[in-house]
Parts: sequence; structure tokens; C-alpha cells
Amino acid sequence: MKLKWKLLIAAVITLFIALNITLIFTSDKEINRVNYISKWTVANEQDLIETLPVAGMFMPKEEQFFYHDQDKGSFQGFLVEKGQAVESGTAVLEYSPENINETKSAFQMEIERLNQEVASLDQHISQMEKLLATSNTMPASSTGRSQQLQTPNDDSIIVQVEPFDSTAYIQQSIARDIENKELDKSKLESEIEKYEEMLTAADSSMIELTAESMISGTVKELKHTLENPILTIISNEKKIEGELTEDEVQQILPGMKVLVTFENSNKQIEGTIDTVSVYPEETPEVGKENSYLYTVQLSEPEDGTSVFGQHVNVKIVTNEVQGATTVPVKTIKHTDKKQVSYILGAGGYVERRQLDTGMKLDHTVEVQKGVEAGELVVLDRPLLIKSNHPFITPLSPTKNTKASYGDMSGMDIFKTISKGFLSR
Amino acid sequence: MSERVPLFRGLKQPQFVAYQLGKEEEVVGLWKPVVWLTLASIIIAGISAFFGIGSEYVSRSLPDLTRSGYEAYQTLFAAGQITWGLIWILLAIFIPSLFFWTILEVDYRKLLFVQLIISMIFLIEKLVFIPVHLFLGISAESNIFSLGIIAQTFTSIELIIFLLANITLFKVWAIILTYKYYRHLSERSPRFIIWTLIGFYLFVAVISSLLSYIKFENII
Repeated sequence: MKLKWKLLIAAVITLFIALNITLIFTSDKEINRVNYISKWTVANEQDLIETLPVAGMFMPKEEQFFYHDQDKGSFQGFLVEKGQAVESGTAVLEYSPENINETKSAFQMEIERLNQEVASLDQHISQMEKLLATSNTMPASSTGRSQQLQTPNDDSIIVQVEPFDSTAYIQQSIARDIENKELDKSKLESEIEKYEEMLTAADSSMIELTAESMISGTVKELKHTLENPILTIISNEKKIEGELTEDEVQQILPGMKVLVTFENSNKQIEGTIDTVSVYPEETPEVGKENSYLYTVQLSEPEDGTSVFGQHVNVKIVTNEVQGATTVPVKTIKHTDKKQVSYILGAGGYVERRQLDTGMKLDHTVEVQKGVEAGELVVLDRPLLIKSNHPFITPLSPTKNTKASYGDMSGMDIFKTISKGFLSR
Repeated sequence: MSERVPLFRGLKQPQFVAYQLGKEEEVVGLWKPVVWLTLASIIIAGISAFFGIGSEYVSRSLPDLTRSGYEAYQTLFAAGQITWGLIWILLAIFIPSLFFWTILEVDYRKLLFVQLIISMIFLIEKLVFIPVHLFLGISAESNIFSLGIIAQTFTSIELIIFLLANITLFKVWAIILTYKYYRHLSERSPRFIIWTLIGFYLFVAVISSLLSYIKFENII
């Protein structure tokens, strides 16, 4: 064949094929297409838990400090030893009552002295009263007499002279004296009252001679030098404490769940974040890394096999969705601000679904709307995937199991083969 | 003639081979190429089935079956497809040669010889279709080498689409090549040869599209 003809034929053929290809993509009418899907997966239903791992340590939940209180008397001694277990209410410190006793004696003496004064006053008063009584029994004073007297003018006058009635005067002065003394007496009595009150106060402070522990725990340390705090008690109950970096602390809030695991065992305890410090542990400085304290309250009391200071791994749950429908991130196609996934649907057709997504964790993402758990999602998208068209899958001989063949009856097997035969 | 049937040469230099054939008294060594072609057909069918081409029927049950159940289903289906690959090539070799033997006065073996060469074209067609199908995501009706796409743009009648999709470039090539050979071998007029060839292939196309249309897999 001449070259010219050959070239012409080649050109025509190429044009024809090109026309067909163009029509596939540009025709208004849907051209029958088939999607070749080689990899797909199932949308799962699972719990998504996002955690932040940090280090933590067991610390006592509470600490009680005791200080030396001078007002309580002088320090007598410790009633417990370092490391001793104590219960709530156990006496741990003792104060000596010496000071108080001295004070009390002083008060007593003062009261006695005052009492004595009152007594002497009483005596005086009763004497006065006796005198008063007897003055009334004194005979009446002599009658008055009249006398004739000459005045310088030589007039004669008759002067009636009444004798002075001293009884009344004496009575009055005695009464006055009694009054004064009564006044003094009541002053003294109120002073006595005062001292008696002080005495009862001293008495009651005698009762508070011991200091008691408010928590059950162990004595952590006592200072014989009496440097304050002189006694520290730590509770048996434990909490977990640790430090967070600047970045971490911004994500953590009180109330977040935590899962605590131990170095060498599978044990896991749950807890919640109790406090998160808003101020760094050490004075912040520019250029220095700051760390912030956090504490965890355990949900179940820990079984006592762990010790204070034991290091644990703490996983703080920063985000959690229960029963989320999840798909791998790879299955989602991002177009024009939309998120789209393709499902292998009923009838052998590929369906296009628009998704609303939620929480993302590693390579998995939560799907809030668009895909149900159990649906098959296309993982390896062919370049020209088209929805509402049938799909085909390649054979995966490795996924064949003898069991599935056993399940099929001989008739089924024959039927399937013939279907393949007839489909050409 | 050499022992082997020059299958490839028969395609590339039909004039030469046809001329030789015309001169030849007797043709021998036909069985080997039959076996080769059969094997080739089985392999090509196997590759095609492996990729799941034509298995849309099976894909429909993917959401309903377990993975291993689905694979079993598809494997059996593939076995059926491969079996068809075996049968089909034999039909393609023997039926046309039988038909034309009745029409043209030519030695049957010579016709067989020609048909073996022509069958190569159909095998090539099948082979080429595999990557095209996978990369362009098209199905048999939308074969870019056929009139199927054009048919789909102006009609929705399935039967017509199937029929036109059967008319492919490769078939045209086959008809032209067969014509060249037959002209050398037969004394019948060229017109006669051409029209019977076209008629024959059209007839086959109609039967084929009818079979596709009926969709036996749904009936069984």
C-alpha cells in the first residue's frame, strides 16, 4: 500500500478514536461507564479517643501541718513517731500545762486577796451597823433648860436652851460610812468576778492540751528543732500530680478524664483532672521553659500497691466521641470546600456522598453525616470515578477461603460458572 | 510453505502470504496454531477476568456478602468467563471458515489458514480492550474503537447501542484482510466476497447483541 494511503487511514482511525474519547467526556447524554475499584473498606463504628500523654506521680491527697502555738502552753512533746500511721482524731502533740498552772495560781491568789479585803470590809460594815443599832437605844438627851440671861443692854431675856441631839448626827455619819464601804465592796466583788472569769478561761485552755490529726495517714516528718511546721502528716489517699508544658497546659481543663497506666503492668485506673495551675511552678523568665502543675483525682481508690512518688503514665483525654462512624481520611476527597466520599452501593453502583465530618484522630475521621456504619467506602479512587455507574472489582485470590466454597451448593457453583460463561 | 503458519506475517504482509497460499497445493501444520491461539485466548480471558472486566453482575452483591463469599462468587464467575474464552476462539476459527467453505469453492484447510490469521485480530482486540477499559473506565458498550459511543449520543435503545458497539475498527480490519485473502483464493467476484463477508459479520453482530440484550445471567 502506498505511504500516502497508509497515512490517511492512520489519520482517520486516530480521529475516530479521538472523537469517541471526546464524546465520553463531553456528551450530554450519559455514556455507559464502569468504575474499576481495587481497594475499599468498611465504615466502622468505634469510639474515638484523643489523648495527650504526660508524666505523673503519686502524691498524698492531703497534708496536714502542725505549728507551734505559744498560747497553748509550752510544748511538751510528740506523741507519734515518724512513719507512724495515724487515724483522724489521733493525738499527735502534747502541750505542758505549767504556764497555765502558774497563771491560774496567780489568779487564785489575787482572788483570795480580794476576798480577804471584802471580808474585812464586811466586818467593818457589820460593826457600823451594830453601832447604828445601839445609838437608837441611847437615853434621850437631857431636857432643855431655860436660863435667864442679861444682855449688855441690861435687858433680861429668857433663853430656852435645847441640848444638841448628837444621836442623829452620829447615825447619819455611820450610815454614810456604811454606804461608802458597800460601794468599795461591790467594786472589789466585780474585780473578783473578773478574776474568776479569767480563771475559767485558763481552765478551758487546759482542755486543749493536745493537738489532733484531722486525717488518716502517716506521719511524714517531725522536727525536733521545733522549726515550723513542726509536724507533717500525709493522707493515705493518693492523688496524681505532674507537670505540663506551656503548649500542653493550654489544652487541659479541669474535669477532663484521664487514664492512668503503670510502667510494668496492664492495670489502668480512671480519674479526672482536678486542678490545673494557672501560674508556672517557678518564676517565669523569658527564654526559659515554663511548667505548670496539674493534679488528678482518682475515680476509684487505688489498691494500695503503689507508693508515693511512683511514676505513672497519664493519658489525658482531650477529645472523645463515643460510637462514632469513622472512615479513613484517605477515602475523603476535598472539592470546593466540600468533603465527598464514594460508596459501593446496592445494585452494584457507585454512589457519591457529601460528608459532614467531626473529630479527626491520626488517619481516622468521624463522619457525622453522609455515611452509615457498615457501608463500603472506596479507598483507592480511580482517576475517572463516576457516581451512579456500575463498578467492578478485581479478583483477590488470596481472600478466597475454602469455607466459602463449602457454603455454596453444587448447583450454585454451576450456576455461577455458567453466568460467567454467558456474560462473555 | 514453511511448517508454521505465519500468523504475524499474515497480518503485516497479507499480499505476500496470500500469494504464497494461493500457490500452495496443500496446507499442513494447522493444529499447532489452533492450540496456540486457544491458549492465548484462555490467557487473555484470564487476565480480563482477573481485573473483573465484565463482572458487573457479581459486583452487585458486594454489599450483601462477606468478603470471602464475594471472592468465591467472583472466582467462579471468572472460571466461567475463561471457559467462554476457550470456546469462543474455537468458534471464531471454525465457524466462519465453515460458512465460507460452503459459499466459496476453496479448500477448507486454506480457509482455516486464513481464519487463524484473522482470529489474531480479534485476540488483539480483546487484549487492547483491557487497559482501555480500566483506564478510561468504560464498559463494552462504550468501546472507543466502536460505534457504541456515537450510538449512545443519539439513542437510548439498548439493542441498537449493542449492535453498533459490535461494529468495531478491528472487525473492519478483519473484513478487509479476509477479503484480500479470499480474492486470492476464490474465483468469485470481489463484490460477492465483500457482501457476503459484511453480511456474515453483521449477522454475527446481531446475534451477539441479542445475546447481550437478553442478559442470561439474570435468567438463570
